[in-house]
Formats: sequence, structure tokens, C-alpha cells
Amino acid sequence: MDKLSRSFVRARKESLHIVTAWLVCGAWTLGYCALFAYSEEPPALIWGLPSWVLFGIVLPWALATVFSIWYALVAIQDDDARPAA
Amino acid sequence: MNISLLAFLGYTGLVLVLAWLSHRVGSGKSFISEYFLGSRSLGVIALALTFGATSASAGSFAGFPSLIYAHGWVLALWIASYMVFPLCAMGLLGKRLSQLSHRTGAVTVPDVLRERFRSPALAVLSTLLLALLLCVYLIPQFTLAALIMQQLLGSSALYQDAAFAVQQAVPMLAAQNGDPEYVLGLLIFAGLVIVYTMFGGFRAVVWTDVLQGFVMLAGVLIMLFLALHQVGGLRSASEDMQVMEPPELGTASFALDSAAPSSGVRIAMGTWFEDDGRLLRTGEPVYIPAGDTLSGVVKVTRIMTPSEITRIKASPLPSLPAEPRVHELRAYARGSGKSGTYMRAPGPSPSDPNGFLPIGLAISFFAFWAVAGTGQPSSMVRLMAFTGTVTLKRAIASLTMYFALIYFPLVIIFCCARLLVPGLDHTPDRIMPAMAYLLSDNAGIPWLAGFLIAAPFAAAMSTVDSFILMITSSVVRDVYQRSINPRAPAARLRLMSYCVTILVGLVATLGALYPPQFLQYVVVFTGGGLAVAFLGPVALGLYWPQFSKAGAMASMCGGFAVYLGLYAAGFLAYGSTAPIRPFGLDPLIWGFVASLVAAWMGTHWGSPNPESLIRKFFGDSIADNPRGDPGHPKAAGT
Repeated sequence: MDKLSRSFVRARKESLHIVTAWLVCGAWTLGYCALFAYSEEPPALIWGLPSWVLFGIVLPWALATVFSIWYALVAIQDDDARPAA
Repeated sequence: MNISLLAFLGYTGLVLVLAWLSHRVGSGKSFISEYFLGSRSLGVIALALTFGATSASAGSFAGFPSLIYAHGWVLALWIASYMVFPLCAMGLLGKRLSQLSHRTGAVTVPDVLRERFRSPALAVLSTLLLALLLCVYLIPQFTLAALIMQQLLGSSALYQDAAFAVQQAVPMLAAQNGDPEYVLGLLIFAGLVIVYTMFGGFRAVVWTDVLQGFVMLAGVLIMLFLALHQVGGLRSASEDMQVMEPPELGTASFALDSAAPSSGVRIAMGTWFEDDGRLLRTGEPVYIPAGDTLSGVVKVTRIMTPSEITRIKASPLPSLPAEPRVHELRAYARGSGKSGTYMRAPGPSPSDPNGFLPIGLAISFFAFWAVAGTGQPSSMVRLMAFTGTVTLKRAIASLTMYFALIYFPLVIIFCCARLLVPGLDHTPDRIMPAMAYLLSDNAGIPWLAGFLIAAPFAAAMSTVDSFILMITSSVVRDVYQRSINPRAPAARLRLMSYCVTILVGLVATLGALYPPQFLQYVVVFTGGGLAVAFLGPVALGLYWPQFSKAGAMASMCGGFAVYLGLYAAGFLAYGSTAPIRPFGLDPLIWGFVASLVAAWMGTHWGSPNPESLIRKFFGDSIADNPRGDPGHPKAAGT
């Protein structure tokens, strides 16, 4: 086939961005928690949260939330899902 | 009248009104498109909340809280993948799936597969798999909903009288389960869900999902505020949990010096008592029959944390009518005698020396939620029903906020529950209603309990209605209309849809009369099975032009076979429902990997896609010729 449709190419690029975002979140959360959450030492408390929860989960969750909202509202292209015909 | 009953009746009334309204709005429109896809008219709020409410099954509001209560803060890691769940589950497939379903007129997931691969066999296979797994999935959902009904309304005299009447009217029905209150809860739930799903179709399911989504959100936020207030703030709660040790679990019986009177002797579930200086709590009701001196064996929990013992004993313990005899007490396999184990990973476990969440399992669950959520056919159907890309984008943003406001707060609430409701470790499934009643009573607003307990009920309902409708659509649309009688009139399709909805509801109700022993395992197995079977074929079908019919068939069968095989091997090896987990990873991960490998092999060695098929779904002609018709004048140059 000569050429892929632009809407398909855009959707494929966006899906790769989303998988990358998921991998980054996984690497951060699982990496940080593997290093600090499984310690036998009692965790330090920051704002009442165990520090590994704050830096390993709450912080990436907050950033992922901001990124998801930005990506959804700004980066995803409008490709009308309705058929023109 | 019982305040919980009033709240429940109000909620039920609203659900029925929404079903009636949706029926009115939908009348006069094309039956199939309206009944199974709401005429593809979902707006932002409807799409976000129906997606969220369907994803959040009864497990989110009954099973998840009990896990937090039992294992502590490590559940924040267990659920962490939800930080990107909306973006993955809606963003990965949403735009393409919507484009493809609009272009082909597909209204179900098997419909999409049939069109994309020009394969009726794949559509029939996927319909069979879908209907079978969803029917199995419905049984634990019905069971959990009936248990919630029982907890919600069991204390109402009216409910008890009605349960007694059911027992009298249909003694065989109640006798099968042995618990007329459970049977009544099941019948009420089933009747309600079947009626509004049958009457209003997809639109009713979505509108009630929106109501249920708001109920869940409000319930969680109110509980969060009350829990933090009553525990003295998050820092105070965490400092107390830092010194907390896991309890010991055991059994006891209760004895009288002389024979029990004619009414017998009862000791309520959750009663505190001391035995040889040890502080314990009953996990089941105790009953000594008339003329007897000894109760049956009941579960008990021994509190081990000194500060907790002091706090509980600050209030006088009730005097017992019988003398306790503690038989055995078992220390936790992981975390016993160690303070602060609820504050760190892998979390305490009564049975597993590796703890609740070893790092291999944490990796599995991070992948599990994203893969399982994206691969659920019930989620995919919603991505075929919205009005346009703008709606999808706003719904992703809304759902991201929604899940952030639901799941992490649940972790905080039920970590606080360890301090507010101690000693429920034998029966942690009761923690949700127990917290609802405690928080409401302490706040001086007892009616609030009915509203808070409506949240898990709403979660069960919003999942069940979607699944019933999916099975109906698979049978009526994919099997009957597409394969048997393409010219069937709308009136016949409507009648068939009503009949199948009733039939599916009845089958699930009968199944829930004999509930499987391991509800959570059934939920996990079927949910994972659906994701493994459908995510590969659908996602690759949307994004890989060369992905062929043989590849899709191999992907669906190969992924599910590996997944099923690991569960079957676990059953043979361990004699239990626990699957084999090579390298500590869940069967879902291996099933998904197998699905991808099989997809590549099938596509590589099978017949290639015809050029016209690739051009139709991926070609540049789409913009001018959205239906991919090769005879279209503007398609001639491509």
C-alpha cells in the first residue's frame, strides 16, 4: 500500500507516547519502591505519609495526573471519529 | 424505618427513574444501535463515569478495602498503576477503535473483529469466549452484591420479615443457600438490575453508571474527611501504625457452668474479651443452644500491640455470659512480632512468609491493571460509543482526576480503619460497612451510613449491568443477527434482547445461589482471561496493518491457552486456585506475551491480508472515503 492515513499515523504515534508514559511511571514507582519500600527500617514520615509512599507513589501519581490531563487535552490530535459519509 | 433501608430505597427509585427516562429517549431510534450502543451519543461526563464505574467493580469497594486493612500501606504500591490507567485504557485504543467501529457500523467487539479481519469464525470464537467468561464473572459480582445487600439491610425488621416470607414461600430456594437474608438480597439485586438493563439498554446502563459514579466519589470523599478527622490526622494515624504489630489469629469456644436457657445464649460478633491476660475479639457470632453448655468453635483475633491494647481497654470490656476457651493462636507467617510492618512493603501476611506483595508481584500488578483495564471488552465497547475525539480527550482528563480522588484516598481511609476498627483481621471483608457505620455514628449523622454503603452496592451494579448487556449484544447481534438471520426485524431483535437479558440474569442468580468458594480468584481469573484473549487481537488489529486473520486467531487462542494452562498447572501442582507464576510474574503477563508472540507467528506464516483490507482500515483514502469502499470515486487513485 502506498501511504498510511494521517489519522492512523497520528493515533499510532500517540499510542507509543502513552506506552512510554506508562513505562516511565512503572520504572519510577517500581524502582523507587524496590530500593526504599522493602527496607526493614521503619520509614520516615513526611506529611504523615511513609517517605517511600510520598516519593515512590504520590509524587509520580501527581505528575502522571498532570501529564495525562495535559496530554489528553493538548497533545492528542482531534480526529473526528464520525464518518464523513 | 431503618435509615439504611430508606437510603437504599431512595437510590433504587432514582435508578428506576433513570431507566424509564432512557427508555423514553431511546424509543423511535434504530433498535440495535440504540439498545447496545446508545446511538453512539456519549458525552464527556457520561463516557468518563461509565468507564470509571464499570471498571470499579464490587471488588474495588469490598475486596480492595479489606486488603488495605489486612496489609497496610503496601496496597498503595499494589494499585499504583492506576496513576496512568485512564490514559492507557482510553487513550491507547479509544481513537482508533471509535474510527473503526464508526466506519464499519460495528456495535460489539466481536463485530469489530469480524470487520477488521473479514472473519466470521473469529467473531464467533470471540463471542463464545466473551459470553462464557462474562457469565462466570457475573456470579461473584452477584454474590458480592447480595452480601452487600445483606449487610446494608440485614438489621432492618422489614427486611428480616421479608426474608422469612421468602423462606416460607419458596423453602427450597432459601434452603439451598441456608441463609434467607442472603437469598432475599440476591433476588432484589438481580430483579433490579435485570429490569433496568432490559428496559433501558445501553443508555440506561450509562445513565445509572453516572449516578453510581457520583455516589462512589461522594462516598469516598466523605469517608476520607471523617476518617482523618476521627483518627486525629494522618500523622497521628501513621505514628500509631509505626508501632503496630500483626495480631494472632485463632479459634475459641465459650462454655457455661450450667445448661443454657430455652432461648440459648448469644455473644455478638466483634465482642472483646480477655483470656489469661490476652485481649481478643470474636470474629463470628457465638451461640450456645438451649440445654447445652458449650458453643461451637468460632474465629478470634488476638491484639498484640501494647499501645492498642491500652487504648481498647481504656473503655470497660463487656461482661460475658460464658467463659472463653481459646484453642489455638497462630502468629503471622510474615511480620509477626515486628512493629511497623503495616508501613512498609511487602506487608504482613498470615500465610505467606514472603509477605503480601514481593517485588515480583508488585511488577506483575503494575502491568496487570494497565493490561487488564485496557483489554476489557466492556471498556472497549464504551470507546465505540462517544460522540467525537474531543469527548474522548476530555473524558480521559476527567477520569484521571476521578481515579486519583478514589483510589489513593481509599488507601488512607482503610489504613485509618486499622486504628478505628481493630481486631477485624479474621473477617476483613466486613471493614467497609463497619467503617461506614462507625464514621457516621461518631460524626452524629447515622443516616450517612446508608449513603456510604450504597457506594459498593453501586459499584457492583454498574459492573453487572454492563456485562449483562455485553452478553446480550454478543448473542443477539453477533450470533443471531450477523450469523443466523441478518434480515431479522427490529421487533424480533428487541424481544430476543429482552429474553436473553432475563436469561443471563437468571443464570447468574442461580450461580450465586451456589457461590464459588473463592470469589476474588474467580474475579481475577475471568478478568485476566478476557484481557489476555482480547487485548492482543484488538490492539494489534488497530495498529498493525499486516496483522492478519491467522495472527488474530493465534493471538486469541495462544494467549488464553497459556493463561489457562498456568492456572491449571497451579491447580495440579498445589491443589489450590493459586496459579504457577514463573519468575514471580502473574499468568496475565505470560498470557499477554504469548498472545503477542502467537500474533507474530500467525501473521508471519499465515495468509497475508488482501491489499483492499489494509487500504480500507489504514490507507490514505480514509479521509475522503471513510467507509473504505473501493468503488468510491475518490478511492480510485489510491
